[in-house]
Amino acid sequence: MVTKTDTKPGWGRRALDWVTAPVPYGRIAAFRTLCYVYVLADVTLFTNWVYGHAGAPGNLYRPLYVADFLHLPVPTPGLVHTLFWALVVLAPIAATGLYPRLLGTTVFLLFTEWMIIAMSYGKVDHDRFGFLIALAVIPWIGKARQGDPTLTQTGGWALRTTQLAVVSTYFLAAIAKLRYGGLQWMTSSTMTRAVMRRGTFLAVWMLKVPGLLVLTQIGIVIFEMLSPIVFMVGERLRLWIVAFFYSFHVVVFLTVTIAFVPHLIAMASFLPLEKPVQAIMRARGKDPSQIAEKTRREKATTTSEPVAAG
Amino acid sequence: MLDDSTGATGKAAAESAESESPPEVVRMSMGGKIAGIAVTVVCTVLMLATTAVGNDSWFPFAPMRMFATAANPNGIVEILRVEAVNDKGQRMLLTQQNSGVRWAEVDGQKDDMAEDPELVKTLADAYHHHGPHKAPLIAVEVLVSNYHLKDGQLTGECETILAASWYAGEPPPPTDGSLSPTSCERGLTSAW
Repeated sequence: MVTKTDTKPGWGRRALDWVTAPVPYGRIAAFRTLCYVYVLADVTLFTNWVYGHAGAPGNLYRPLYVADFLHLPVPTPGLVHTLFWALVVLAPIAATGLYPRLLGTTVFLLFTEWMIIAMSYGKVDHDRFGFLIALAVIPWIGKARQGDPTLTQTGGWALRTTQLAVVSTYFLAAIAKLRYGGLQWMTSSTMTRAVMRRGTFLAVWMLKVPGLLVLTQIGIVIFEMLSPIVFMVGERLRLWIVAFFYSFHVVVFLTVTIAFVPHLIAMASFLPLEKPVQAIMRARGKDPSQIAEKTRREKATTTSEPVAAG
Repeated sequence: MLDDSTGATGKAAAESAESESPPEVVRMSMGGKIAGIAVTVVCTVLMLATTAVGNDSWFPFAPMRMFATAANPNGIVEILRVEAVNDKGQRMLLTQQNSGVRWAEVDGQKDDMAEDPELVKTLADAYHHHGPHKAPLIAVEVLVSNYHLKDGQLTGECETILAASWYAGEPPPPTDGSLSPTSCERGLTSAW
């Protein structure tokens, strides 16, 4: 969002305004709740195989650089169980918005360690960079009330950084294909291999149509390379493009059962999440501007810093 | 529909309903802006660096290399599975559900496993840890079905390779391929 002034601001100023374009506190509160609820779902459902790593003997352990650098311990059952229960208890509390900086930072650190353990056994997943960035930046914002229309620049920065991480997942994936597979990636049999290994009945027929999977590969690289366009268009078109991203992942899941769930959660940073919350509030007779009143009163008693955490 | 608020709040609600005044903005302090921009820039630089020269060990800043390798359209597609035999002679597939080890992790470590059967035994240990009440395993086999491609299409040719194995004693009878839908014997035509 460019701030229109009488004199045209320099590109540095415009970049700064874009990175910190304010968003409502209500959007932050809703996004935060979504992220912490997902942390609970992730450790209990989606990555509960990390528990298996607790039993996996140490000689299957392939530490990441960050684990060596920080001297993180070799995963033991005790460590994995502790992480699991800490996250299962703290993430739902964080989702309520209580102690946002303390709990947010703690959940970020614990979940990152959980992820490091997950990725230290020979396979690194690439569907969670955007989500980890989201967990890292959300605590900076402090208190945010559901439905609050008051705008926050810190919140804008946090969502923008998350959006950049989400789009870089696509764009850099295209570059990685060129780096690891070369231009011939597009005409290779990579999608054929993926469908053979894990295709569903919705995908297996494609193996019999010559050239079809090659066409999908070309399409994928084009869409990934063009993904930064989402930042260059207006709000309405942006939402359509994000809807297209979501539908791409639905199709991928239905054909090769690969789900990029944490990435989809992080991608919600593009969405006006406060609007359904405000609509529900109005339906129940509560006016979101009253929440703005509360925030304004609190700010009146603090310095110009953003609203302090609990 | 107003709640039992004071007149002042009611007035504010009425004002917001009809006013066009934009919401207030809580601005970042200069220190906050500098720190925030620095974080965004550092993350961006790390992601560009990892895409250029990094590898998976740089996680969480690993290159986005999902499906990035190019499979040769006139080559071989390898599909890996792990089968195990317990001391009752029952053969089964080792899966993430019954052993806690992911398929992709075995795939990533199969070359090391080929060199060292003790690494293959760790899959048996993981299975035992996952279900201590189950009959212990006496054999673990990492099997790879090699499907041949020509011009990107399956030729129908397929052979099974024993990529790595561990046996507590005598090797059991070999697999007949019936356990896995991706085995050469079942040939990718079974229900998924």
